[in-house]
Amino acid sequence: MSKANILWTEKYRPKTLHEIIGQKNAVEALRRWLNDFLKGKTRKAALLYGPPGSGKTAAALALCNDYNLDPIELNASDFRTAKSIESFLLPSLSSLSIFDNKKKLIIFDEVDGLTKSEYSAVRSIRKIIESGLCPVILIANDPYKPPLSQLRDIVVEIRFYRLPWSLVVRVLNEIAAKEKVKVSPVVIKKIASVSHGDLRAAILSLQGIASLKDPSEGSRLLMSRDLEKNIFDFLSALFLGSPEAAKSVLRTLDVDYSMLLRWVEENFPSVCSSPGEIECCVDKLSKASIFEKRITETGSWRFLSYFFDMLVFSSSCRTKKLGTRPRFRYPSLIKMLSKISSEEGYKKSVSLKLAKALHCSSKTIMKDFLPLIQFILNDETKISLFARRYNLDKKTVKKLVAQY
Amino acid sequence: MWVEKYRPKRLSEVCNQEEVVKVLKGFVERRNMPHLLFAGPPGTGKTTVALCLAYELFGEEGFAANYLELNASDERGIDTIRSKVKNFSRASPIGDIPFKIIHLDESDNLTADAQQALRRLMEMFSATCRFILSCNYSSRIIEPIQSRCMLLRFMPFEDKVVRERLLYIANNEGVKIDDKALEAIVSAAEGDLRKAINVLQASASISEVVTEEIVYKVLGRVSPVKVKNMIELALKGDFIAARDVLRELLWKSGFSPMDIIAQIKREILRLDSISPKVKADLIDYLGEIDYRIVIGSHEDIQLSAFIARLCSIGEKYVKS
Repeated sequence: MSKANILWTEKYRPKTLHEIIGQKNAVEALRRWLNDFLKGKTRKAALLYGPPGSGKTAAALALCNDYNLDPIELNASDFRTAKSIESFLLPSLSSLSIFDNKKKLIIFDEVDGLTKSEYSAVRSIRKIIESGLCPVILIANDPYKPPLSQLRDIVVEIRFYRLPWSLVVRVLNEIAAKEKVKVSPVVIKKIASVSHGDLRAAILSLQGIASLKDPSEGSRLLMSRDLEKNIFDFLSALFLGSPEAAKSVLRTLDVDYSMLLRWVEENFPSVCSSPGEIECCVDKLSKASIFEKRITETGSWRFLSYFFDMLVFSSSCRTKKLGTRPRFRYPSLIKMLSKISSEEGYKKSVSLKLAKALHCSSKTIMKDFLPLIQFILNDETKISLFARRYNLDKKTVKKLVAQY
Repeated sequence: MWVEKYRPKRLSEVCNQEEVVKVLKGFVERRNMPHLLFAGPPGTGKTTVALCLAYELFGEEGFAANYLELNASDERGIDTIRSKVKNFSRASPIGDIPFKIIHLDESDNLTADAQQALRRLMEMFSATCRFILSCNYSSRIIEPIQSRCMLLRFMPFEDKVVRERLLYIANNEGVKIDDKALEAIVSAAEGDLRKAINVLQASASISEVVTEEIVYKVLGRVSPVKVKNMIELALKGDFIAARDVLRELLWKSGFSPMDIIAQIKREILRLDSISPKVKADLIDYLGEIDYRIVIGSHEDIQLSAFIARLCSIGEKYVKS
C-alpha cells in the first residue's frame, strides 16, 4: 500500500495516551487499572464503552505502547464461539513465558456485537479473565447488552464520551495542516457537525473531501448532490417503476419526510393526465400528511409506514405511461417560503412596535393593517409623520409601503 | 391611525356592549374587581374596554404605573410572562386602589403549560394584582383559570352600530362616502369594528369621495377575495395556477386556513354554474378538508386536495 493510500485514521492514530483527546478521566482510569493489575491488586478486566469514534480502541492500543505490552487484538465478531477463542488464545498465552519476554494484553473489540447463539464465547472470555494470565480489555458501544451484563462482576467500567464539536474541529484542522490540503474552515466545521462527535467518521470525511479536485467547496456539494440524487432515484422509481420499487428506495433515504412530500407534490401534476388523477393523487398526499402528524402527536414511529404507503400509492392514481425520466423540479413552495422568510424579519419587528402602540398582536398588524399601508401612507409627509409617531425608521417604513 | 384616534377613552363612550359596561362601571364605583375573562371575536372592543376600565380606576396619573398589557401571541414564552408579571406585581400599587391590573391579550394563544403556570401566578399575586384575560374562544382557556375569573362575553357589533360609527368618523374627517360603499365595508367587516375603521381610513386615503369601487380595491388586501379567482381557475381545470393563488393567500397575504375555508364556502354557495346536488357534495368534502387541517400536518396540502376536487368537478359538471 502506497503512503497516499493509508487511511488517515491509521496514520494519525495516537501513539501514546497523551495524544488521546477529550477523554481525560477515561485515560486516567485506564492507567490506574493497568497499574493495579500489574501490581496484582486486581484481576478484573477493563470494559471501555462509549459511542463509535470516541477513542476506545485508540486508547487501548496507546496504552500497550506506553507500557510496552504486545496487544493481541480480537474482534469479537470474528471469534464467535468458545472453541475458536480458546484454541486461538490459550496456546499463545501459555507460550508467552517461554519464547517472549514481552507481556501481552488482550483486546476484545465489539463485544456487544455477539448474537444470542454466540453467547458461549462469553464463557471463554470469562475464563481468560479469571485465569489472570494477562490483562484484558473489552470494548463495546453499549455496556448494557446481555452478554456484557454477565461479565459485570469481573470488569472495571470506563466510560468514553462523544467528542465535543470544537475538539473535532481542532483535530481536523491539525490534520489538514499536516497534509497540506486546503479545506475551508466552513467545510471543516460542517464535517465536524455532521460527524456528531465521531472523530473517526470526521477524519474519513476529511480525507474523502481532500481527495476531491476542489476541496475548497467540498462538503456542501458532496452532501447535497447525494441527497438530490437520492430523491431523483426515488421519484424515478415512483413515476416510472412501481410503488414497491419506490418504497425500497425510500428505505435507504435519509431525507426529512416533509421535504419528501414536497418533492412529490411538486412533481406529480406534470405526470398526471386528467383532473381526476390529480384529485386522487392529492387526496393520498393529504392522507400522508395526516399520518405524519400522527407520528409527531403520538411519538410513535409505527405510523411512518402508513405515511410511506400513502406517499407511494399516490402514484397508482396515474394511468399515463412514461417513456423517459421527466425533468424533476425542486419544490417551488420551499423556494417561495425561503424568499418570504428573508423579508419577514423587518416586517415582524415593525409589527411588534406597532402592535404595542395600537394594543393588538403583531399578527393582527400583519394581517389587517400592513396590507393597507400603501393606501394610508400615500405621500412623503404622511410617511414621515407616521414614522415619527410610532418611533420607526423612515427608510424602513418606505420599504414597507413599497412592498405592499 | 384612526383606530387609535377614535378609540373610546371612557366606559360611557363604549357602544354596543351595554351589559359588559354596566358590570364594569359597578367595579369602578366599588373600586374593586375580580379577575376577568373577556371572550369575543376580534374587533369587538375587548382591549378598549380594558383600557377604559384601567383609566377610570387609576386616573391619568396612576394609569401607566398600574396597568400592564401583554399580548400572549407575541410574548408566548411563559418565562417572559412570568418574569414580567412578577416584576410588575412585586412593587406595590401606586395611588389609592389596592391592586394593579395585568391585561393578557389573546390568551387563547397560550399553551396549556403556560396556562397552568399562569393559574399559579393568579393565585400568588391576587392580593395586589388583578388579571384580565381576553380571548376569542373561552373554551381554549383551561377550566381552572375560567373558574377563577368572571366571564364577560363580547358580542360582534351590530351592522347598525358599525354603520353609525363609520359615518361619525367620516363626518369628523371630512370624508364623503356613498351608501353602497358604506354597505360594502359594513358587510365585509362582519362586526369587526377595527377592520371596518382601517378599511375606511385606507379608502379615504385614496380619494376624498369614497366609492364602492375603492372599497373593494382596499378589501382585496384584507379579505381573501382572491378565493373567488382561485375557484374559477380550479373549475377551468388549471390545478397549478389555482394552487399558486392558494399559496399566495396563505403565505404572502397571511390568511389563515380558516379564513380561506370560510370564504370558499361563501363562494361555493354563491356559484350558479353547478347544481345544488354537486354543491352539497362539495360542501361535504370541504368539511372533510376542514377536519383534515386539524388532524394533518400540512394545511396547504389539505386545501389543495379541495382544489383538485374542484378541478375534476369542473371537468364533469360545469358547462363552459
